[in-house]
Amino acid sequence: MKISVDELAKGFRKEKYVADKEILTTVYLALKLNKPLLLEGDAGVGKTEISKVLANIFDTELIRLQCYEGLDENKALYEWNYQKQLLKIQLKQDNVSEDVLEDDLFSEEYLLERPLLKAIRSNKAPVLLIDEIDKTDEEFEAFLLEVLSDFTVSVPELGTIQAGEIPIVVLTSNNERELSDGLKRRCIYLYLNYPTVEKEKEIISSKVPGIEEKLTEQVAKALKIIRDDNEIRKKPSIAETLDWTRALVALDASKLDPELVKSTINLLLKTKEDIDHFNENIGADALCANVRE
Amino acid sequence: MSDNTVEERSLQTSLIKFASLLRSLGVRVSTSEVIDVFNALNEADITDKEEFKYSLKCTLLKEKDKEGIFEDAFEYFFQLPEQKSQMQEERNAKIEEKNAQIEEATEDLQFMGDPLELDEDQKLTYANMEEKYKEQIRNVLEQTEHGQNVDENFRPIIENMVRSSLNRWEENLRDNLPTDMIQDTGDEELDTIRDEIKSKDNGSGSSSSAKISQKDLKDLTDKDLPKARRVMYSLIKKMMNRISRRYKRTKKAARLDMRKTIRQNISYGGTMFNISYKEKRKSKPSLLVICDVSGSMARYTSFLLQFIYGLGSAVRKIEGFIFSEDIERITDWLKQKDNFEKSITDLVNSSAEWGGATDLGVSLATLEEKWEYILRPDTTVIILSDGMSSGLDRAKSKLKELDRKVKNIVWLNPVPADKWEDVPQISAFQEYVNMFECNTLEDLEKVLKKEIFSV
Repeated sequence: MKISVDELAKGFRKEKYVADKEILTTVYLALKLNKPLLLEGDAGVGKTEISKVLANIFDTELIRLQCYEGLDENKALYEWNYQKQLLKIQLKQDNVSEDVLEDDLFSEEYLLERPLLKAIRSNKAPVLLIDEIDKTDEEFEAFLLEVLSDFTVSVPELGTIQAGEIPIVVLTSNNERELSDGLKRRCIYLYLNYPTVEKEKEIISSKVPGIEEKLTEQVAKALKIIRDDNEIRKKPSIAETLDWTRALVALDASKLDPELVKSTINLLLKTKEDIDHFNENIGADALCANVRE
Repeated sequence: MSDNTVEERSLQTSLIKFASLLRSLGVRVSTSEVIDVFNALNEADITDKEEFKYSLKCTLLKEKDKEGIFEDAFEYFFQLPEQKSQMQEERNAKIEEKNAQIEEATEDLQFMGDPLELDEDQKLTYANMEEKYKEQIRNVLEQTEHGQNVDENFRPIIENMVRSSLNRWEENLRDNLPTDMIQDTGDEELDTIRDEIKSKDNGSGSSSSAKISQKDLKDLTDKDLPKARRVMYSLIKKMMNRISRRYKRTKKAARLDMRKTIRQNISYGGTMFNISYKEKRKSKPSLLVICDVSGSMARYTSFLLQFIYGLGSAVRKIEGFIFSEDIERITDWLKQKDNFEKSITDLVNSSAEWGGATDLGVSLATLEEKWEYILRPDTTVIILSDGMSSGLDRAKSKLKELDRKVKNIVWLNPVPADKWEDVPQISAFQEYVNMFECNTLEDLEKVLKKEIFSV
C-alpha cells in the first residue's frame, strides 16, 4: 500500500477507528520515518487499538509484547528450552560425542522465540506492539532502545540476526511512570485524550449499528460530564462507553432517563467509590436534564 | 502557514528558532528531534497548516504537560508579521513602563540624598503599591532623616526596614507585576513571544495540569483543588511504581535464581527439576511525615494535608504527625477510607494544634518521648514547615538527635529559597536536614523523585 495521509484515513475508516488529523499525521510520519510510535494516554482511549488497525491495514501479523514488572530480555527476546535440552542429554548421554551433542542442543529446535526475536525474523514486516512499556524498569528500556535502534540481535550460539524487514513498532504507555528521555527522543510521540463529544458520537455510530441519533448524542454528552468530574477515579473508557450503549440499545432505549441510568451505571463506573460519588454529586436526574439541553 | 512568514526567512532558520523558543519555555528539545522535524517536513504537506503543526508537535513535544505551551508558542511564532510587530511594540512599551517604575522608586526611596540599596523586584513592588501606602514609606524616610542625632550609620537599619515592608507587599502584588523578563534568549523576537506566553499564564485561573503544577500551593482556589489533587495522586502513584534495583524471590516465572536452583536440585544429582525465580522488588520507603499546622502555615495546611493523605493511601509504611506548639499523631486518620473533606473536618475538630504558634523543639521532644519506637534507621522523615519556630536552640538540638536516629530528614519549605536568609531559624536547621523550596506541585514532584522515592 502506498502510504499517504489520505490512504491512512481510508484505512482507519475501513477499520471503524475514528481518527482525527493529528492521529493520522503522527502515524503517517512514524511510518514514513521508520520510527517507533509512542502512544501515551489514560487506559481505554484506544492506544492498543491503533496497532491492531495498522496490522489490518498492512495485512500483516500483529506481534504483541505485553510488558509487566520485572520483564527482562530473556522473556522479550528468546530463551533456550532447557527442560527439553535436559531430556536430550539424559537420552543421548552414552552414545554421542560431547561436541556433537552441544551443537545439537543449541540449534533452532531448542530455541523459544519471544516477541522481539519473532518480529525481527518475520519475512513480512509485522506490527510489533510493545504494550504498557511504563510497567517495565529503566534497565529493560535501555535494552529495548538498543534493539529498536538497529533491529539486530546477537544470539551467541546462532550468530547475529538482522531484521530483513523493519517492523512497524508501536509502544503504549499509561503514563504511570516517566519514560526515559532517550526512549522518547527516538520515538514519534502522540498523547491520546478521551474523545470529544463529537468524536465519541462518531465512534458510537460506527460501532453500534441501529442506534438512534438522539441516544448517541445523549450518551456522548453524559460521558463528557462524567469524565470531566475530577473526583471520578477510574474514568470510563471507550470500551465501557460501547458496552453501556449496547446495553441501552438492548433495553430498547431511545433516550436516557434517570431510571435507566441508575440501573445501568455499573457498566460505566467500576468501583463502589465512583458509583457512590456519581449518585451523591452528579445524580441520574441531573445528568439526564443536562444531556437533554 | 502564511506565505509572508516564508518570504521573510527560510523554513530551516524558522524551525531552529522555534526549537529555541520551546527550550526557553522549558520544553526539552534535543538536536536529534530538530533533525526529525526536518525529515518529517520533507514527508508532510507543509501547505496544510494542521499537518504542519502536527508534524512539529509529534517530533518536538514528548510531554503531555507542555502541550498548552506548545500550542501557544506555535500560534504566536507562526503568526502574520504585522501581528508580530504589534506584539513587539507592546513588549517594548512594557519594558519602558518597567524602567520608568524603577526610576520612580529610585527617586522616591532615598535617605540623606542617596538612593536606598534595593533590588529591582523591591522597586517594582513599591511602584505598584497604592499611593497612600507609598506615602507612608516616604513619610517614615523623611521623619527619620530629620530626627535628632541621625547620621549615615542609620542607613542599614532604614534599608532593612523598607526591604521587609516591601517583601510583605510583594506577596499581594505578585500577580499584577509586569512579566518576569530574566533569562533572555538574546533574540528579541523569541523573548517577546516567550514573555507573551508567560504573561498569559499569570493568574489566568486556567486549570490545565501544567499550570496547576506551577501554581503556588497557597494560591490554589477551591476550583483548582480537585484537579490539583488528581495531579498529586497521579504523581504519588508514579513514584510508587518506581522499581528497585534489588531482586527478591518470586513464584512467577521471571529471572532465574541460579544459586537457589542449584541448591534445591542437589538431591537430584544436579539435574534441574525445580526452578526458582527472582524478580525486582518495588522500592517502598518507610515514611514519617510531620506537618506544621501553625498560624503562619495556614494558607498551605489544607493542601499539604491532602498530600499526606494521598501518601497515606499509597505508602503502607507511613506515620503522620501534625504540630504547632506540640505534636499530635494522625496516622489512624491517614488510614481511613472516608472522603477527604469529611475526614479533614473531623481532624480539625478533634485536634488541639490548629493555628497556634510553632515550637519545633517541644514537638520533637514529645515525638521522641512517646513514639521513639518508630524512629528507625530506614525511616525517611519529611517535615513540611516554613521554619518559623520559637525556641531555636532546643529545636536545633532535637533535630540533631532525630537526624542521628533516622535515615534522613527532608524538609519541604513553602517559603521561596531566596527569602531563607531572612529567617535565622532556616539557616540553623539546614545543618541537619536537606531543605528544599516547595511551593508548587512541580517542586513537590522534583523532591519526591530525587530524595524520597529514589531507587
